[in-house]
Amino acid sequence: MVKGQDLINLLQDETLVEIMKYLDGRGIDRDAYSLVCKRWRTLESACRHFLTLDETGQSDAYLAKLVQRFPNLRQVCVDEGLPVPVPINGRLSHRQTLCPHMMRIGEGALIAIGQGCHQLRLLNVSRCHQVGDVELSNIAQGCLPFMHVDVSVCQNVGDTNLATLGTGCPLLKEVIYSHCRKISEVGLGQLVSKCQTIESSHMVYCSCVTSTDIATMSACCNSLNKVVVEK
Amino acid sequence: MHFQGSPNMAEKRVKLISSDNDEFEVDEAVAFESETLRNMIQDTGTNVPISIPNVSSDILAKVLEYCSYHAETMETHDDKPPITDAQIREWDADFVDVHPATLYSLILAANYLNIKNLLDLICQAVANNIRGKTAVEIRKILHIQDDFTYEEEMEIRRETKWAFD
Repeated sequence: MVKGQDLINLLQDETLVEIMKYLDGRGIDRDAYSLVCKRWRTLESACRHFLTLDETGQSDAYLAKLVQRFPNLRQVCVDEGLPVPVPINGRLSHRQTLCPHMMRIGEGALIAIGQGCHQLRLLNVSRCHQVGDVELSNIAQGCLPFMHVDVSVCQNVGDTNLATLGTGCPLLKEVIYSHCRKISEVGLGQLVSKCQTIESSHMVYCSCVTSTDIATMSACCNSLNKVVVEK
Repeated sequence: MHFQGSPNMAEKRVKLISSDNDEFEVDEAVAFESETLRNMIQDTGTNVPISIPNVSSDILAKVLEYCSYHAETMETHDDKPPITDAQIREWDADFVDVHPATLYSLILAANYLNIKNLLDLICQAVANNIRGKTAVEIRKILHIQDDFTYEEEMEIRRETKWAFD
Protein backbone atom coordinates (compact mmCIF):
# COMPACT_ATOMS: atom_id res chain seq x y z
CA MET A 1 0.00 0.00 0.00
CA VAL A 2 0.98 3.62 -0.44
CA LYS A 3 1.66 5.26 2.87
CA GLY A 4 -0.68 8.12 3.68
CA GLN A 5 -3.27 7.10 1.11
CA ASP A 6 -6.96 7.49 1.89
CA LEU A 7 -7.92 3.81 1.74
CA ILE A 8 -11.14 3.91 3.63
CA ASN A 9 -12.87 6.04 1.01
CA LEU A 10 -12.25 3.26 -1.53
CA LEU A 11 -14.94 1.32 0.31
CA GLN A 12 -18.52 1.25 -0.88
CA ASP A 13 -21.15 3.35 0.85
CA GLU A 14 -22.65 0.30 2.55
CA THR A 15 -19.39 -0.58 4.28
CA LEU A 16 -18.83 2.97 5.51
CA VAL A 17 -22.35 2.97 6.85
CA GLU A 18 -21.63 -0.32 8.65
CA ILE A 19 -18.68 1.33 10.41
CA MET A 20 -20.89 4.22 11.42
CA LYS A 21 -23.54 1.89 12.78
CA TYR A 22 -21.04 0.60 15.33
CA LEU A 23 -20.86 4.17 16.65
CA ASP A 24 -24.59 4.22 17.30
CA GLY A 25 -25.80 5.45 20.59
CA ARG A 26 -23.10 8.08 20.81
CA GLY A 27 -24.34 11.23 19.17
CA ILE A 28 -21.03 12.95 19.70
CA ASP A 29 -19.18 10.36 17.58
CA ARG A 30 -21.80 10.58 14.87
CA ASP A 31 -21.34 14.34 14.84
CA ALA A 32 -17.58 13.94 14.44
CA TYR A 33 -18.14 11.41 11.65
CA SER A 34 -20.36 13.88 9.79
CA LEU A 35 -17.62 16.50 9.90
CA VAL A 36 -14.87 14.35 8.37
CA CYS A 37 -15.63 14.99 4.69
CA LYS A 38 -18.56 15.64 2.37
CA ARG A 39 -19.12 11.99 1.54
CA TRP A 40 -19.24 10.96 5.19
CA ARG A 41 -21.58 13.81 5.92
CA THR A 42 -24.04 12.70 3.23
CA LEU A 43 -23.90 9.10 4.47
CA GLU A 44 -24.35 10.12 8.08
CA SER A 45 -27.27 12.41 7.27
CA ALA A 46 -29.05 9.64 5.39
CA CYS A 47 -28.64 7.29 8.37
CA ARG A 48 -30.08 9.55 11.03
CA HIS A 49 -33.37 8.13 12.13
CA PHE A 50 -33.87 10.05 15.35
CA LEU A 51 -33.79 13.75 15.97
CA THR A 52 -34.31 15.20 19.40
CA LEU A 53 -34.24 18.92 19.85
CA ASP A 54 -33.89 20.01 23.40
CA GLU A 55 -34.64 23.57 24.42
CA THR A 56 -32.91 24.74 21.31
CA GLY A 57 -33.77 28.40 21.39
CA GLN A 58 -33.41 28.26 17.62
CA SER A 59 -35.73 29.81 15.07
CA ASP A 60 -38.35 27.81 13.24
CA ALA A 61 -36.58 28.35 9.92
CA TYR A 62 -33.43 26.97 11.44
CA LEU A 63 -35.18 23.83 12.67
CA ALA A 64 -36.64 23.42 9.19
CA LYS A 65 -33.16 23.48 7.71
CA LEU A 66 -31.97 20.88 10.18
CA VAL A 67 -34.85 18.57 9.36
CA GLN A 68 -34.11 18.93 5.64
CA ARG A 69 -30.61 17.66 6.22
CA PHE A 70 -31.87 14.28 7.45
CA PRO A 71 -34.19 12.81 4.80
CA ASN A 72 -34.76 9.44 6.49
CA LEU A 73 -35.87 10.51 9.95
CA ARG A 74 -38.21 8.09 11.69
CA GLN A 75 -38.68 10.02 14.93
CA VAL A 76 -38.68 13.71 15.67
CA CYS A 77 -39.04 14.95 19.25
CA VAL A 78 -39.01 18.60 20.16
CA ASP A 79 -39.03 19.59 23.78
CA GLU A 80 -39.29 23.28 24.34
CA GLY A 81 -39.05 22.76 28.05
CA LEU A 82 -42.30 24.44 28.97
CA PRO A 83 -44.12 23.46 32.12
CA VAL A 84 -47.33 21.46 31.65
CA PRO A 85 -50.18 23.77 32.53
CA VAL A 86 -52.38 22.29 35.24
CA PRO A 87 -55.83 23.80 35.52
CA ILE A 88 -56.62 25.13 38.94
CA ASN A 89 -60.35 24.92 39.67
CA GLY A 90 -60.91 24.08 36.02
CA ARG A 91 -59.13 27.19 34.70
CA LEU A 92 -55.62 27.81 33.48
CA SER A 93 -53.78 30.62 35.13
CA HIS A 94 -52.70 33.51 32.95
CA ARG A 95 -49.04 32.73 33.49
CA GLN A 96 -49.47 29.17 32.26
CA THR A 97 -51.25 30.03 29.03
CA LEU A 98 -48.96 32.77 27.83
CA CYS A 99 -45.36 32.01 27.10
CA PRO A 100 -44.77 33.97 23.88
CA HIS A 101 -41.00 34.14 24.27
CA MET A 102 -40.86 30.34 24.27
CA MET A 103 -42.46 29.88 20.85
CA ARG A 104 -40.10 28.13 18.52
CA ILE A 105 -41.19 25.20 16.39
CA GLY A 106 -43.99 26.13 14.03
CA GLU A 107 -45.11 25.94 10.47
CA GLY A 108 -41.68 26.13 8.83
CA ALA A 109 -40.35 23.06 10.61
CA LEU A 110 -43.52 21.04 10.12
CA ILE A 111 -43.66 21.87 6.40
CA ALA A 112 -40.06 20.65 6.15
CA ILE A 113 -40.92 17.43 8.00
CA GLY A 114 -44.02 16.82 5.89
CA GLN A 115 -42.18 17.42 2.64
CA GLY A 116 -38.88 15.83 3.53
CA CYS A 117 -39.40 13.00 6.03
CA HIS A 118 -41.58 10.52 4.22
CA GLN A 119 -40.45 7.75 6.58
CA LEU A 120 -41.56 9.54 9.74
CA ARG A 121 -43.15 7.20 12.29
CA LEU A 122 -43.20 9.34 15.41
CA LEU A 123 -43.61 13.02 16.14
CA ASN A 124 -43.53 14.49 19.60
CA VAL A 125 -44.17 18.22 19.64
CA SER A 126 -45.90 18.27 22.99
CA ARG A 127 -45.83 21.67 24.63
CA CYS A 128 -44.92 23.40 21.36
CA HIS A 129 -47.47 26.14 21.50
CA GLN A 130 -47.16 27.29 17.90
CA VAL A 131 -48.16 23.90 16.58
CA GLY A 132 -51.80 23.72 15.59
CA ASP A 133 -54.11 22.16 13.01
CA VAL A 134 -52.63 24.04 10.06
CA GLU A 135 -49.04 23.11 10.92
CA LEU A 136 -49.87 19.45 11.57
CA SER A 137 -51.71 19.08 8.26
CA ASN A 138 -48.26 18.93 6.66
CA ILE A 139 -47.57 15.67 8.51
CA ALA A 140 -50.89 14.21 7.45
CA GLN A 141 -50.11 15.02 3.82
CA GLY A 142 -46.51 13.88 3.70
CA CYS A 143 -45.92 11.02 6.13
CA LEU A 144 -47.87 7.95 5.13
CA PRO A 145 -46.23 5.47 7.56
CA PHE A 146 -46.85 7.82 10.49
CA MET A 147 -47.83 5.90 13.65
CA HIS A 148 -47.26 7.83 16.87
CA VAL A 149 -48.21 11.41 17.55
CA ASP A 150 -47.82 13.37 20.77
CA VAL A 151 -49.26 16.88 20.57
CA SER A 152 -50.25 17.18 24.19
CA VAL A 153 -50.56 20.73 25.51
CA CYS A 154 -50.63 22.13 21.96
CA GLN A 155 -53.57 24.38 22.56
CA ASN A 156 -54.22 25.17 18.90
CA VAL A 157 -54.76 21.52 18.00
CA GLY A 158 -58.38 20.66 17.42
CA ASP A 159 -60.80 18.54 15.46
CA THR A 160 -59.42 19.53 12.07
CA ASN A 161 -56.13 17.89 13.00
CA LEU A 162 -57.81 14.64 14.04
CA ALA A 163 -59.70 14.55 10.76
CA THR A 164 -56.68 15.24 8.53
CA LEU A 165 -54.48 12.77 10.41
CA GLY A 166 -57.19 10.16 10.05
CA THR A 167 -57.29 10.69 6.29
CA GLY A 168 -53.54 10.92 5.68
CA CYS A 169 -52.09 8.44 8.17
CA PRO A 170 -54.09 5.22 8.16
CA LEU A 171 -51.48 3.34 10.23
CA LEU A 172 -51.77 5.46 13.38
CA LYS A 173 -51.25 3.45 16.55
CA GLU A 174 -50.76 5.94 19.33
CA VAL A 175 -52.39 9.35 19.73
CA ILE A 176 -51.54 11.60 22.65
CA TYR A 177 -53.83 14.63 22.80
CA SER A 178 -53.80 15.38 26.52
CA HIS A 179 -54.54 19.02 27.37
CA CYS A 180 -55.77 19.68 23.81
CA ARG A 181 -58.91 21.34 24.97
CA LYS A 182 -60.39 21.95 21.53
CA ILE A 183 -60.79 18.34 20.47
CA SER A 184 -64.28 16.87 20.61
CA GLU A 185 -66.44 14.03 19.33
CA VAL A 186 -66.48 15.57 15.84
CA GLY A 187 -62.75 15.11 15.22
CA LEU A 188 -62.50 11.92 17.20
CA GLY A 189 -65.32 10.36 15.18
CA GLN A 190 -63.59 11.25 11.93
CA LEU A 191 -60.27 9.90 13.21
CA VAL A 192 -61.58 6.51 14.29
CA SER A 193 -63.67 6.08 11.15
CA LYS A 194 -60.40 6.08 9.15
CA CYS A 195 -57.82 4.68 11.61
CA GLN A 196 -58.99 1.45 13.09
CA THR A 197 -55.47 0.44 14.06
CA ILE A 198 -55.19 2.79 17.05
CA GLU A 199 -53.91 0.92 20.09
CA SER A 200 -53.32 3.66 22.60
CA SER A 201 -54.93 7.02 23.26
CA HIS A 202 -54.21 9.69 25.87
CA MET A 203 -56.83 12.40 26.32
CA VAL A 204 -56.21 13.77 29.77
CA TYR A 205 -58.00 17.08 30.45
CA CYS A 206 -59.79 17.06 27.10
CA SER A 207 -62.96 18.54 28.47
CA CYS A 208 -65.02 18.10 25.28
CA VAL A 209 -64.39 14.36 25.05
CA THR A 210 -67.12 12.32 26.70
CA SER A 211 -67.45 8.69 27.73
CA THR A 212 -69.68 8.14 24.68
CA ASP A 213 -66.77 9.22 22.45
CA ILE A 214 -64.44 6.78 24.17
CA ALA A 215 -67.02 4.01 23.68
CA THR A 216 -67.20 4.87 19.95
CA MET A 217 -63.45 4.76 19.76
CA SER A 218 -63.23 1.38 21.42
CA ALA A 219 -65.96 0.01 19.15
CA CYS A 220 -64.11 1.16 16.01
CA CYS A 221 -60.55 0.28 17.02
CA ASN A 222 -60.29 -3.43 17.71
CA SER A 223 -56.67 -3.23 18.87
CA LEU A 224 -57.30 -0.45 21.38
CA ASN A 225 -55.72 -1.52 24.66
CA LYS A 226 -54.99 1.73 26.45
CA VAL A 227 -57.03 4.85 27.02
CA VAL A 228 -55.86 7.48 29.48
CA VAL A 229 -58.43 10.13 30.44
CA GLU A 230 -59.02 12.47 33.32
CA LYS A 231 -61.33 15.42 33.72
CA MET B 1 -5.85 -39.48 -13.31
CA HIS B 2 -7.01 -37.66 -10.17
CA PHE B 3 -9.03 -39.17 -7.42
CA GLN B 4 -9.93 -35.96 -5.71
CA GLY B 5 -13.54 -36.91 -5.15
CA SER B 6 -12.67 -40.05 -3.19
CA PRO B 7 -13.94 -39.89 0.38
CA ASN B 8 -10.69 -41.32 1.73
CA MET B 9 -8.57 -38.65 0.16
CA ALA B 10 -7.70 -35.36 1.86
CA GLU B 11 -10.02 -32.48 1.09
CA LYS B 12 -9.78 -30.63 -2.21
CA ARG B 13 -7.10 -27.95 -2.27
CA VAL B 14 -7.36 -24.53 -3.91
CA LYS B 15 -4.48 -22.42 -5.26
CA LEU B 16 -4.66 -18.65 -4.83
CA ILE B 17 -2.28 -16.10 -6.34
CA SER B 18 -1.76 -12.72 -4.66
CA SER B 19 -1.18 -9.40 -6.47
CA ASP B 20 2.61 -9.84 -6.00
CA ASN B 21 2.46 -13.34 -7.49
CA ASP B 22 2.86 -15.39 -4.33
CA GLU B 23 1.04 -18.69 -4.42
CA PHE B 24 -1.09 -19.93 -1.52
CA GLU B 25 -2.70 -23.33 -1.24
CA VAL B 26 -5.63 -23.91 1.10
CA ASP B 27 -8.42 -26.38 1.72
CA GLU B 28 -11.55 -25.74 -0.25
CA ALA B 29 -13.48 -25.25 3.02
CA VAL B 30 -11.11 -22.39 3.92
CA ALA B 31 -11.59 -20.68 0.54
CA PHE B 32 -15.35 -21.15 0.89
CA GLU B 33 -15.36 -18.67 3.81
CA SER B 34 -15.12 -16.10 1.01
CA GLU B 35 -18.31 -15.71 -0.98
CA THR B 36 -16.31 -14.39 -3.96
CA LEU B 37 -13.96 -17.42 -4.00
CA ARG B 38 -16.86 -19.80 -3.48
CA ASN B 39 -18.54 -18.45 -6.61
CA MET B 40 -15.30 -18.62 -8.61
CA ILE B 41 -14.58 -22.19 -7.51
CA GLN B 42 -18.10 -23.27 -8.32
CA ASP B 43 -17.65 -21.78 -11.80
CA THR B 44 -14.15 -22.97 -12.66
CA GLY B 45 -13.37 -25.83 -10.25
CA THR B 46 -10.31 -26.26 -8.06
CA ASN B 47 -7.83 -27.16 -10.82
CA VAL B 48 -7.26 -23.60 -11.99
CA PRO B 49 -5.24 -21.29 -9.68
CA ILE B 50 -7.29 -18.22 -8.77
CA SER B 51 -5.71 -14.77 -9.16
CA ILE B 52 -6.55 -12.15 -6.57
CA PRO B 53 -5.09 -9.11 -8.31
CA ASN B 54 -5.87 -6.49 -5.66
CA VAL B 55 -4.71 -8.25 -2.49
CA SER B 56 -1.00 -8.38 -1.60
CA SER B 57 0.57 -11.51 -0.12
CA ASP B 58 0.94 -10.18 3.45
CA ILE B 59 -2.73 -9.22 3.55
CA LEU B 60 -3.87 -12.39 1.81
CA ALA B 61 -1.93 -14.43 4.38
CA LYS B 62 -3.79 -12.62 7.17
CA VAL B 63 -7.14 -13.14 5.48
CA LEU B 64 -6.44 -16.85 5.00
CA GLU B 65 -5.38 -17.13 8.64
CA TYR B 66 -8.81 -15.80 9.56
CA CYS B 67 -10.59 -18.11 7.12
CA SER B 68 -8.64 -21.19 8.31
CA TYR B 69 -9.45 -20.53 11.93
CA HIS B 70 -13.14 -19.92 11.24
CA ALA B 71 -13.42 -22.95 8.94
CA GLU B 72 -11.86 -25.00 11.73
CA THR B 73 -14.35 -23.72 14.31
CA MET B 74 -17.11 -25.15 12.16
CA GLU B 75 -15.62 -28.66 12.24
CA THR B 76 -16.50 -31.13 14.95
CA HIS B 77 -13.94 -33.56 16.32
CA ASP B 78 -14.80 -36.48 18.53
CA ASP B 79 -11.54 -36.23 20.45
CA LYS B 80 -11.51 -32.45 20.98
CA PRO B 81 -14.00 -30.22 22.79
CA PRO B 82 -15.70 -27.73 20.45
CA ILE B 83 -14.30 -24.19 20.34
CA THR B 84 -16.48 -21.91 22.44
CA ASP B 85 -17.91 -18.56 21.30
CA ALA B 86 -15.86 -16.82 23.98
CA GLN B 87 -12.67 -18.37 22.54
CA ILE B 88 -13.65 -17.23 19.05
CA ARG B 89 -14.30 -13.69 20.27
CA GLU B 90 -10.94 -13.61 21.98
CA TRP B 91 -9.19 -14.88 18.85
CA ASP B 92 -11.02 -12.29 16.72
CA ALA B 93 -10.04 -9.48 19.09
CA ASP B 94 -6.38 -10.50 18.81
CA PHE B 95 -6.71 -10.77 15.05
CA VAL B 96 -7.78 -7.13 14.59
CA ASP B 97 -5.26 -5.83 17.10
CA VAL B 98 -2.95 -4.69 14.30
CA HIS B 99 -1.57 -1.45 12.91
CA PRO B 100 -4.38 0.75 11.49
CA ALA B 101 -2.77 0.64 8.03
CA THR B 102 -3.04 -3.16 8.05
CA LEU B 103 -6.61 -2.89 9.22
CA TYR B 104 -7.60 -0.70 6.27
CA SER B 105 -5.90 -3.01 3.79
CA LEU B 106 -7.73 -5.91 5.40
CA ILE B 107 -11.08 -4.19 5.12
CA LEU B 108 -10.61 -3.74 1.37
CA ALA B 109 -9.60 -7.38 0.98
CA ALA B 110 -12.53 -8.61 3.08
CA ASN B 111 -14.79 -6.40 1.03
CA TYR B 112 -13.47 -7.69 -2.30
CA LEU B 113 -13.45 -11.32 -1.18
CA ASN B 114 -16.88 -10.84 0.40
CA ILE B 115 -16.20 -12.40 3.79
CA LYS B 116 -19.12 -11.03 5.75
CA ASN B 117 -17.98 -11.94 9.27
CA LEU B 118 -14.48 -10.59 8.73
CA LEU B 119 -15.88 -7.38 7.26
CA ASP B 120 -18.16 -6.93 10.29
CA LEU B 121 -15.27 -7.62 12.64
CA ILE B 122 -13.06 -5.01 10.99
CA CYS B 123 -15.84 -2.43 10.71
CA GLN B 124 -16.25 -2.74 14.44
CA ALA B 125 -12.50 -2.39 14.97
CA VAL B 126 -12.37 0.71 12.77
CA ALA B 127 -15.31 2.17 14.70
CA ASN B 128 -13.39 1.50 17.91
CA ASN B 129 -10.42 3.36 16.45
CA ILE B 130 -12.42 6.48 15.64
CA ARG B 131 -14.71 6.44 18.66
CA GLY B 132 -14.21 9.45 20.87
CA LYS B 133 -12.04 11.21 18.27
CA THR B 134 -12.74 14.58 16.70
CA ALA B 135 -13.25 14.96 12.96
CA VAL B 136 -9.75 16.39 12.63
CA GLU B 137 -8.24 13.38 14.42
CA ILE B 138 -10.25 10.95 12.30
CA ARG B 139 -9.03 12.63 9.10
CA LYS B 140 -5.48 12.34 10.31
CA ILE B 141 -5.76 8.66 11.27
CA LEU B 142 -7.40 7.70 7.99
CA HIS B 143 -5.57 10.18 5.72
CA ILE B 144 -8.83 11.71 4.56
CA GLN B 145 -8.78 15.02 2.73
CA ASP B 146 -10.88 17.78 4.30
CA ASP B 147 -13.10 18.93 1.44
CA PHE B 148 -15.32 21.37 3.34
CA THR B 149 -14.98 25.09 2.93
CA TYR B 150 -14.60 27.04 6.16
CA GLU B 151 -18.17 28.36 5.84
CA GLU B 152 -19.61 24.88 5.30
CA GLU B 153 -17.80 23.51 8.30
CA MET B 154 -19.02 26.33 10.53
CA GLU B 155 -22.57 25.74 9.37
CA ILE B 156 -22.46 22.01 10.08
CA ARG B 157 -20.96 22.64 13.49
CA ARG B 158 -23.82 24.97 14.30
CA GLU B 159 -26.33 22.36 13.17
CA THR B 160 -24.86 19.39 14.96
CA LYS B 161 -24.52 21.31 18.19
CA TRP B 162 -28.26 20.97 18.72
CA ALA B 163 -29.03 17.62 17.17
CA PHE B 164 -28.35 14.58 19.24
CA ASP B 165 -29.25 11.05 18.34
